[in-house]
Amino acid sequence: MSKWMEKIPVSESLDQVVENSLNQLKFEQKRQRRRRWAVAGSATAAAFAVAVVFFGTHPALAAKLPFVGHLFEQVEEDVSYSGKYSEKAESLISEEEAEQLSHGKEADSSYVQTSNGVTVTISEVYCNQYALYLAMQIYSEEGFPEDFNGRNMENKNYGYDTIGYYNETSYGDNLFGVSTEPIEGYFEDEHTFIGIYRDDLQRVIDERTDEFVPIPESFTYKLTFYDFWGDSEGGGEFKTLKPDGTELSCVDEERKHYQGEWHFEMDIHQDNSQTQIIDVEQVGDAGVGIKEVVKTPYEVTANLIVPEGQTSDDYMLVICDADGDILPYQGDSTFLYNIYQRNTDKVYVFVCDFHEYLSELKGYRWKGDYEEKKKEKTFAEYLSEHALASAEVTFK
Amino acid sequence: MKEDSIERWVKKAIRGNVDAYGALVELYKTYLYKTAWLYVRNEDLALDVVQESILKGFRQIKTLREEKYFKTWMTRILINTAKDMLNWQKPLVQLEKIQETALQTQNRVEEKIDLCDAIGKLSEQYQSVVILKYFNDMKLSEIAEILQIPEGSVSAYLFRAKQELRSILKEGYLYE
Repeated sequence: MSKWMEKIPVSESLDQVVENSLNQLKFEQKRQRRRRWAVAGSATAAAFAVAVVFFGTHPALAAKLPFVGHLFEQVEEDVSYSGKYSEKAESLISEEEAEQLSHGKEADSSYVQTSNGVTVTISEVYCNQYALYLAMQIYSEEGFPEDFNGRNMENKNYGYDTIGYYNETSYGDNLFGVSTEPIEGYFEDEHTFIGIYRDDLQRVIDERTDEFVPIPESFTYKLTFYDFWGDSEGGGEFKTLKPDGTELSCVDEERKHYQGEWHFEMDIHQDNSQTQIIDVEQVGDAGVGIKEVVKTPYEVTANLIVPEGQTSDDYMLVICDADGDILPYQGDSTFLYNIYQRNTDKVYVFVCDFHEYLSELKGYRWKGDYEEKKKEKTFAEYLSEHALASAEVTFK
Repeated sequence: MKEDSIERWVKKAIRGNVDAYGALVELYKTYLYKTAWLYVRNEDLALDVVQESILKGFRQIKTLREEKYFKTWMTRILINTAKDMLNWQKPLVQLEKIQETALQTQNRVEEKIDLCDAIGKLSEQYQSVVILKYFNDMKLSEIAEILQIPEGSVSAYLFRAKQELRSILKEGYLYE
């Protein structure tokens, strides 16, 4: 550190600010975990009870058995973008094929692909204008290491398991995707991972213009995986020092890859039958407003009106449920909100100044005393006093 | 803490371990605060910048491609946050600076105050290279990585920044 840097006095509040920030991150993480485990526990307990007994005696068949044709049902509450996909998904595997697979027999389906000892099955699909969801099973003959991506960690950070991948997607001529979020789900056993692959259709690029574009209502979806990967604690144990000088034992990690080529092709038709679009057309004093609010079976979002020369990214869209609490983000997007198990018959939509929201307004909700504060004023009521534009929208 | 230990903490943080991330923040908190202060020159604002950067850092940590560049990557987040906050707060900061300056006038004997005031008069890109080079002792390559500009531009900015500073400060001040 330079002599000039040393002369800058450090604020006495710095430690408190650091502690508050880390507490907020932990709080956010715990909240996510609680929500996911709460719904996952009841729904999968019965299935596990049956499966564990059988797999215990027939491990080789375990991967081919379980729930092909009904994968969404098994995993839809064990992902960060929970929803009842099973009620609307289209099965890609016929009942006959599912029956064969469930008895450990090979099935002649283009949705079951094997490469280098890894079998990938895509069982069901659901697609609307915002995202495409695939229910998948990944079966490794050699088995995933016990510590693969921390699958047996007692203290899971997110309440679900993940597998990373490298893939390529296309949605018709000149349209390709840039999906990078891991597949979320859980390890059914040491050989089998069941999960949901979510493809964000707001991130489809037209290679002729290099711009994000909407996808057609019907299209041929081509998806090729080249690599599935996860981190294992394979580097051995080592000692390190905490910043306070105390010693800590750690385990080094190494990345394990399952490389090959698994190619899938399917005709997709968006299901927008239950998408409701409510026109709002309200503009606040700052020239920013809400054009319309869109609700699909799994998410809610809004299209904004912004002053000339600005984009929606200059603002923060916040959507609260009927109880006035903020909804969780859907996947990685801060413009899409997940509605699973929340009362969204009515929603409160706010457009806030980006910086004001991040540096000040969100603190009302995320500081530890919200449960007390909301008795006097919900987050929605608080935001209504500060937002640049707002709307209360009731859905059918 | 050794470099390889830091990288192991970073790996754990990338996998969602808040405690590991917290250890890194503890390690760099003073550096982060002082860098933020150099941009906003206001204690409360500097604390806001640090807080926002800590939150952004963890939420975006999966975008960090190489563990060894954690500090560089975090500095970039901090600088962008400081610039954003400064633009947003500009009218307020200017008012506060007038009040602060009035209070500090009697005690302006420390060179850091002179230098900080002088840096505040530089254009935005010059401010960044001077802060990173002379306050954070960073190499040109590190500055280039943080600001996402070629190394040649860093050298050029430094040269021009020093010329401007020379006209504000005493000759030779930056060559000690």
